[in-house]
Amino acid sequence: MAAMSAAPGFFDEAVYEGGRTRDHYRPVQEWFDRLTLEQVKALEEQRNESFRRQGITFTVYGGDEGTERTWPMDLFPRVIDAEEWAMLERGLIQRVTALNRFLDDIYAGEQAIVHDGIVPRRLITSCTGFEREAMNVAVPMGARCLVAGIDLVRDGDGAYRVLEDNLRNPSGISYVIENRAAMTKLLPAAFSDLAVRSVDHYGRSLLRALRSIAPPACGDDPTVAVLTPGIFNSAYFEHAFLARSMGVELVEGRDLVVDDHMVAMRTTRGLERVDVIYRRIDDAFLDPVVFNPQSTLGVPGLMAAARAGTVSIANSVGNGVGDDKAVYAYVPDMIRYYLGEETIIPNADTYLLWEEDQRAEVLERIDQLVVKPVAESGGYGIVIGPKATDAELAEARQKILDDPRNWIAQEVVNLSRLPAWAGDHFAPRHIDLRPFVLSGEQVEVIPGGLTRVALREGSLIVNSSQGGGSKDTWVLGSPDHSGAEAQS
Amino acid sequence: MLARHAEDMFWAGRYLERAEDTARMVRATLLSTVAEPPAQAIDRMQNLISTLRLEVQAPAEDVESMAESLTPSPPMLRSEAGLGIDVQAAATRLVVAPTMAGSVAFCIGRTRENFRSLRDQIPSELWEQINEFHLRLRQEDFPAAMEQDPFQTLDFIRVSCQSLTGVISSSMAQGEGYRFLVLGQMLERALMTCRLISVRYPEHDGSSYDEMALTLRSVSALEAYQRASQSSPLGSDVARFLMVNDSFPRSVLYCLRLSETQVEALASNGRPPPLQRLGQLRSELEYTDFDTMVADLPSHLSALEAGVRNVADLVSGHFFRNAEAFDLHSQAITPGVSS
Repeated sequence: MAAMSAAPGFFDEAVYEGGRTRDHYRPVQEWFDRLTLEQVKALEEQRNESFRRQGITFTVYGGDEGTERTWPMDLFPRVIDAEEWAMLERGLIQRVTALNRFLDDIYAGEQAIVHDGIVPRRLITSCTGFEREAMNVAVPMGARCLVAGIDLVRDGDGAYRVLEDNLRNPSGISYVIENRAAMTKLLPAAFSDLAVRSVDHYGRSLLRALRSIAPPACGDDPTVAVLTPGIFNSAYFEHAFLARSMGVELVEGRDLVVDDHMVAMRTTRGLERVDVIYRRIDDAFLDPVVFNPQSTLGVPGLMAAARAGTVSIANSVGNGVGDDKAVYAYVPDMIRYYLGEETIIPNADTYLLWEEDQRAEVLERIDQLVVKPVAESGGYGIVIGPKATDAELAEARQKILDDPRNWIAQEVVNLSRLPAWAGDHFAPRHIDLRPFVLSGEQVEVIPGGLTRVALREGSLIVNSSQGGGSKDTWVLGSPDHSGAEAQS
Repeated sequence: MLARHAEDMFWAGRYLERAEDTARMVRATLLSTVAEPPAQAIDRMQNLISTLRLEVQAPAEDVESMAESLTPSPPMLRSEAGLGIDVQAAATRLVVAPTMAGSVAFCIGRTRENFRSLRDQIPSELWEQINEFHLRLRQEDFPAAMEQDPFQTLDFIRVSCQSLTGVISSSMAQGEGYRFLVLGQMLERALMTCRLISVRYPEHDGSSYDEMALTLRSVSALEAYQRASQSSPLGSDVARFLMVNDSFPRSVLYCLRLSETQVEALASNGRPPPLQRLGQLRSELEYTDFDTMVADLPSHLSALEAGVRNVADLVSGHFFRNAEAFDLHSQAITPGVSS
């Protein structure tokens, strides 16, 4: 059921050029080859029913109100072999370590990287994500990107590249775990003898990281809470999932009060101190005293408490300066500067539009490039040159001229492909990968991550808000990795 | 636990109980209308609607939607009754109308909403069960199923509610959250039983077995009653059973006792106002001579009902609104010392 052949220009994850199945995909491919159309349809049905029953959904804004859709998970898994993963793991740890160092340097350090002329000062000060309110707010161990989601793609040659960093509130980890749970139930036999590395321990790892950044004064049993905007947020499912898997309270802004620079939650027995807040609310809504005064989601006085050091907030406020897409272009320089290493996973080729010569080239070739706003996430605002209409290109050109700092351009990356179910057969679809990286006492990468797939034929947009789906991601264990998760 | 979560638990318990009780009452009423002339059947349905008087006190944000849905329900049925709305259609509405406050589908929807904001607090099994139940009630063919086979449908609802309660008692840690849930269930059940007696009691005048059987069946008490009392029932015996029997789990006394147990366990120190009020209500009910009470049953019942509602308010004031906050300054912030 899953026959496919390689096509020029794209890297096919599962097959070599010429159509022979790659070694690490062979067991999976053989298993899928044996399925009949009816069997696949039955599995699809079973999966939908199970997600619907469990209420594993996400909300799509903009369409009909309250559109709660069940999570689209494609049955054909992505497989990453041990050696490839070891390289990715090293590259991700390297990148996130450098980004933590950078953010700590900017907010709590001497801004050495600016003084040494590596990163231009105006690049930092012009970031919408640069929060002056976060200046000199210390974070234990400098673990500012407590949870990072780094989006990776593979280009036409199969080389991995970082497409963007998500250092504010990256979401999707709950789907990684739910996808695995669903696959284990639906296709137990497909795992056959493969030593697929577990992702189940995420809650424990996250809790350990969060506890490690607690203010030193709160003792050795800090209270952690997850702060959510509430049940109407598109990622509420994930917020509840995380609180449940860590066994901590899921609070909303109205549950918290700040008194004399201490944060407490309202409980049935009065107020109770909170030491670490894993917030899933954007900076702008976090504290109406210093940010958006209209926000009812936040907690008045929270930033003052963080500054006083009585509470730790993760991810740190102001991380937007680290995942701004123009700053992204400087990450290889940061890695060299802070770590003295060369970048293991390179960036996609990027043009900075405030640089006059680069801008001129981009405006000339705009129909061949991807243009992105620097501070957005979720695929919003992106213009893909080869697929855009003349009017869209003209509009993009005008926006660049109006505010060049707000845009970057990248060469089109021909995302790699993997079979996905297309109604009555498996057909190649483009995919990317978002691994999740935790920073605490050490930097840890959860094996695999969220593989997103563009379910429409030829489409390169993988965001679930725009018709994308997901795949379970299997990292194969190597002898030295067996049992590594059991210890955590 | 978070005050907001405690409140959601409490309301989940109330809505769940309300849904189950409503289904039982609708079932009993339909059963006794089967062999009756239409006019009598309409009266009986009207009687049920009075019992179900929509007095569920919803959280503040619900007031709007309640007002909206309150208007059409009882008056419409009353006026449409004259226009020949049949009993079955009324029963269907009570079960499936998703926006009518008090309908089974509405209550289950609210139970689910409350559990949804408690996703991190409740076992996944419980969430899956309520989610599935809710989705079934909202399916397009559900009203038709209720029209065509009301008894089977109502049994499905009862069994679904019971399996929810089963999951709650078998897979939920019996901590604070569990206690607030049970407290909500017990107070709601006490209210429903009080209302049932006050509406049904006048019908017991002729000591007709059928009337009393309907009353008992409405709270699934017929079998328990028959086992407890072999003599042919008097109207007042039925009321006595439903109010002060100390082993039947739907009697008002039983509900109050169980509520008291929960509040006792929840009160961290002393006897907070809701516990005092519950104790008063329970001992009044328990130690007042029933024959004296029965002489003026309506006023006793309405006092009892008001008392239970008062307890719910006191629970809310004490546990959810928590006026007196702890003094933050008294909590240790010395390095290495956790408060």
